[in-house]
Amino acid sequence: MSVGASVVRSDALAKVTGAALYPGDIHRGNFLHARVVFTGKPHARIVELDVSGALSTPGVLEVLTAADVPVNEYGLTMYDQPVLIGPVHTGRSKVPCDVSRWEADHLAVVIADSEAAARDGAAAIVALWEDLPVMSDIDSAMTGPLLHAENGLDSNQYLHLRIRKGDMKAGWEQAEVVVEGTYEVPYQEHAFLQPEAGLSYFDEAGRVTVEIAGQWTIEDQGQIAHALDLPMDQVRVIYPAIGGAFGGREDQSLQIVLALAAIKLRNKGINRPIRSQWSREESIIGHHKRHRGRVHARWGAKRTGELVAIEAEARLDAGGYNYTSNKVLGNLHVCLAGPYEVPNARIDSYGIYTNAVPGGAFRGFGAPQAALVAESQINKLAEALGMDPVEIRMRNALRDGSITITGSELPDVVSLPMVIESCAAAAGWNEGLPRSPELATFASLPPAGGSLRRGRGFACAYKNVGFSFGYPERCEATVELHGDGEVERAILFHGGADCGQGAHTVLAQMTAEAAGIAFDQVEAHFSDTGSSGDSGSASASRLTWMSGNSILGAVEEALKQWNEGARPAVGTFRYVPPRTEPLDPETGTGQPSFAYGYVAEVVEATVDIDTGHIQIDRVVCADDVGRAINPNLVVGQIEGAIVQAQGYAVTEKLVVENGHTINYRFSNYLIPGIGDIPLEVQSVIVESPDPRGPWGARGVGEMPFLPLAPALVAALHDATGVWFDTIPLTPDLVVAGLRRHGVGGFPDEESPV
Amino acid sequence: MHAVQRHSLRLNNYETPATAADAVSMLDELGERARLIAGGTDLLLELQRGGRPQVDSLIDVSRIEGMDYIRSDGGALRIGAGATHNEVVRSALVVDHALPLAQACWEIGSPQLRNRATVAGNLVTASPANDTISALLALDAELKLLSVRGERVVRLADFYLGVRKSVLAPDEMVTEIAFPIGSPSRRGVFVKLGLRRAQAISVVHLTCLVDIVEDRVRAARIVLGSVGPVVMSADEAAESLVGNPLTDDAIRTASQLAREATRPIDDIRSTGGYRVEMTEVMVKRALEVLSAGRERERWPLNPVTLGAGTRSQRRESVGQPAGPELRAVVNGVTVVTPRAVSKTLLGWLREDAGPALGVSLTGTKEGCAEGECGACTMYLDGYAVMACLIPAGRAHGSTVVTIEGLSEDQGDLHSLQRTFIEHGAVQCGFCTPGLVMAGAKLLEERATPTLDEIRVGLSGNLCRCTGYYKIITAVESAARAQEGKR
Repeated sequence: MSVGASVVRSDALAKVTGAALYPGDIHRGNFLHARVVFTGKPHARIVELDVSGALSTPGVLEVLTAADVPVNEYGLTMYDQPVLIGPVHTGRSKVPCDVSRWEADHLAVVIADSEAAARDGAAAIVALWEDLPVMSDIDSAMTGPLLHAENGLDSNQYLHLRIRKGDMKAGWEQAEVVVEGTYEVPYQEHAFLQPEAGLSYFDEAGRVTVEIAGQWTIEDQGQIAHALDLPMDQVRVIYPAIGGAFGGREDQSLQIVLALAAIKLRNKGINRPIRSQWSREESIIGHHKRHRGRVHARWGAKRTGELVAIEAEARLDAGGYNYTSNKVLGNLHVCLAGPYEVPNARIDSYGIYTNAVPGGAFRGFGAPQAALVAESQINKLAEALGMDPVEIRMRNALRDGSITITGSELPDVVSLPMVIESCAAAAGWNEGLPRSPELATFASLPPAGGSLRRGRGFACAYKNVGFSFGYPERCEATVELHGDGEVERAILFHGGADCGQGAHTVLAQMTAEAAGIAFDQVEAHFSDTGSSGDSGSASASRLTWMSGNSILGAVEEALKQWNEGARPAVGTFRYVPPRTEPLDPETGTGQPSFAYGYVAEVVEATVDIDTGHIQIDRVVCADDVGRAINPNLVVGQIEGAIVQAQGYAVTEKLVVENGHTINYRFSNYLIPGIGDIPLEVQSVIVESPDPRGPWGARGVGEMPFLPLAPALVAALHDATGVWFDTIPLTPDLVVAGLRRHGVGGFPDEESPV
Repeated sequence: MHAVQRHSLRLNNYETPATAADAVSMLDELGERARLIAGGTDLLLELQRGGRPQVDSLIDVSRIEGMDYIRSDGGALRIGAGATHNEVVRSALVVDHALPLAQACWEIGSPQLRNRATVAGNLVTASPANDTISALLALDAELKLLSVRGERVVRLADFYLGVRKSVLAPDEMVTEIAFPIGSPSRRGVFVKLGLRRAQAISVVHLTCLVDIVEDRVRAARIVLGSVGPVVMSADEAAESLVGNPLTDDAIRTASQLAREATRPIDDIRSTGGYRVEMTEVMVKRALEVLSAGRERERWPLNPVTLGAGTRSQRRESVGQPAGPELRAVVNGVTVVTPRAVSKTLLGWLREDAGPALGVSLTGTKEGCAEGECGACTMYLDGYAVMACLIPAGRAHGSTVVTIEGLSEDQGDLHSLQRTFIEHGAVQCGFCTPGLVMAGAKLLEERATPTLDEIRVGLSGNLCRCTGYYKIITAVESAARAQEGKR
């Protein structure tokens, strides 16, 4: 049996020996260097662009500008971003390309025979700018100039989603307890370890080829083809090893410009591979972030704990371009009511263009922000009602037959109540807080016992699996079966990207299982548009679910051929999942998704009330993954997500000033190191099969991330009696919050904090 | 162009003098064009980011023989300018007589960084956040400065003029740090507040020293860092302790006075107000710990350094005239390339050494180019270091081991590579070579490391995928496997 076994991942050997090649490691002979020049202007109109200095720099072969881009626009969900900013319009894009709306908009690409020459050339580019008002946040964008007038909008607040459910007046009349809060949710940087890099060339078949790390080969291929006005089959995209993604590689970085560079040079008679690589600084400045935003929420319940009314107003900072903001906002919107049955709700969610770094996809896709709000709200209700946080959840949790906030039923099986109970049981929720090693706030001093407070908190969530809101989902697989009398070998061709999560191993396991052979009898070819079909992206916790179904179909087809005598027998299958619906623009009703996973977490934490330092003592995380195809990889996802969420909740604070991201290094954007992680993580794998998932599988990549921040906030409240509606919980923020409530420090003195 | 895209390392010359006298005469000759480099962990970043644009020559003093001493004579403890943070951490003399300095060195950066960065370099950078300054100011250190004009001695208390400004003349070199050993009754502790357990720049750091005789404080020093433009002595606070027993009341008064001495700013790491209040908390806790005699409790008996190497290669090639070649032994094979003066060791390995050897040496990765992520961890003369913070020229005449050469003497795979695979300690894998290199060096240093030692040994390596748990398991498991073999 392959499915359910913790098979060793197929790329592990190459990765531990250093042999695995990431895009920046591929050195084809005689290659050229391409350097992407950022505008550095959060908001300005370009008046003049002079690249003659660059062109006359020794070693420089070519400089690409806006005038070179056939269709100067791109964007994953709408074409609202120019490939290159320049004063010359190609006339074939809707979005004006003479305005830089983000400091990392691309101005030019310098191609040279050495990295140094490319740098020198870049430094010789002269641009004249007319500065425009920089709208650095959502408040200033409400009154500032329009960033995307081309879309016929009359406000930078370009997205508005609504939920109108039940009767709010009746809801509030029934409410015996009401809690309210304004939550500030922060940016988060993906901080994948491998900065953006790529290589382009013409392959043997004459296709312009880009080797790069991404999350969806066919989407990259499509974006390149659109901007360069090429037929799809003239573009090839290959993913070598990918050094982490987490949503941060869903949008374009170097794809289009590398392809353009190869074409321009070939047109000049130069056929040499071109490589480009971003520094860490360029990476952090140059790709989108988890959205920051502000959410006001007001929840009412009866004395029994039954939720009767929810109101929320959410604003997300989309930055200069949409990226996936419309979809992230939709996900946030739906999750703002939590995983609960709510009879009456009024929710408004807005997306706003600004000149800050764009918001986009990042593990959880809007759900982490919503979870902080919804789970804090229900924890506050529990406090106000004197009710146990688990009990209030059991009373309101979505279950089989529940009607969601969008007025639809969830697909079977809705395991949330079971997941909540499993988590509480594993954590010993009904027993006392277990002991834990004391927090030594200062490495050189023994723990200051008198200043330490401990507490624990609970949170839960649900996460849709797959693209939602009516997107035409699909996933393709091709399987060849080789052998004579019996199937001896299966060859899988699949587009699915392994960003590190282990998808390629899982896909091979499912192929072996479906074909009835052993794991090592499967050979697999991945992530090359030259040989694999459209898998959809490695995102939205969807890849196992969708790929498994595509592989099942492909193997079934191949076996049919096999039984008819074909050798090898080849099956190609395009899996299309149940249809989803966009939400009704006025009421928000609809069936947004076809599958879900459910998660609950207990966080135990210690805080030093004098210094604001937090230690997470233990996390117990129960995830209904439906079926763990590879349990060890599932645990890897849970542990990794929890530590990434800890960074989101505690240390990772990205600061934007005047449209510039100011802490763009690992030395001042602090992700958790090995000494910072929760002292213990206990992963509880729940397997309540999704009848439509392959072997019952759901998804796992995002779920464990969602409850951590609100559960930690609740633990902090349990420890100190103070609620925090803003994260990250950096020591200065914690101290300021505690002191406002008279906790810690030197009570006889006036605190300057 | 965006401001961060403007600069890169641009050098023309890399010198390796054999003596301090040679070094200062080169410095005199080259003038403003040159900068001394020892560990280089600050300087290289400064140059890469456009600082000191006039500098095109580096004078590497890290290989001058006899500069890395730590010894006592004439009632003073003397530390050569070549001594690294890890050498200080491993020095019984320092730990016995100057615990705060050992503690400050221990809490800087990561093991890889501490294997390269020198204490003298930390002082010369002159940032108020630099941890050794508070310790050495409290210890009343003085610096020996050498130039072609002669030698002079400057008290550290007179050394700093402002943020990143000191009295060190452009032609001068720090050759020694010295401070009085003091009486055995003098005890001290260094305290650092950072936003992460390792690889954290201080939000506040401080050193408290007290000399208690017959239950009364005979002398005291309280020195505060990161709360003003220079590291400062809180004299009023310290003096309030003198002549009295170290009671709770006395501690409270002193910590309040220390707080009043601060002049901090708001920055990315914290608000100024937070620094003010934390100064009081930290001075109070430090004095309480000294009062209770518990300042050594948290000091590791045998600190992990990832430096299980030897210095046997140190002098080879030193003092040779700057030739046209860079020659080093990489993974057991001698490689010769043109000198790569504007490259880091990382760039040279990946772009020059690999092609010259006809093999791929791209397992050593660039994740941050500032010594924060550890993806470029490799061994230089036996020490685990970050290749991104080392000028390529430093490798001349040295022995380099990369991930590609790790398993060489083990025939197949290193046991840690095996356990990384078995336990699923690999996800995206980009951090993996660096973690394996750090972990393998740790296992060389400690057959069965404790959990704390694993946390220290791998504190210089960031991973964004795994959460580290399976990596810890892999190290523990490899230790058991090695034990089984013995």
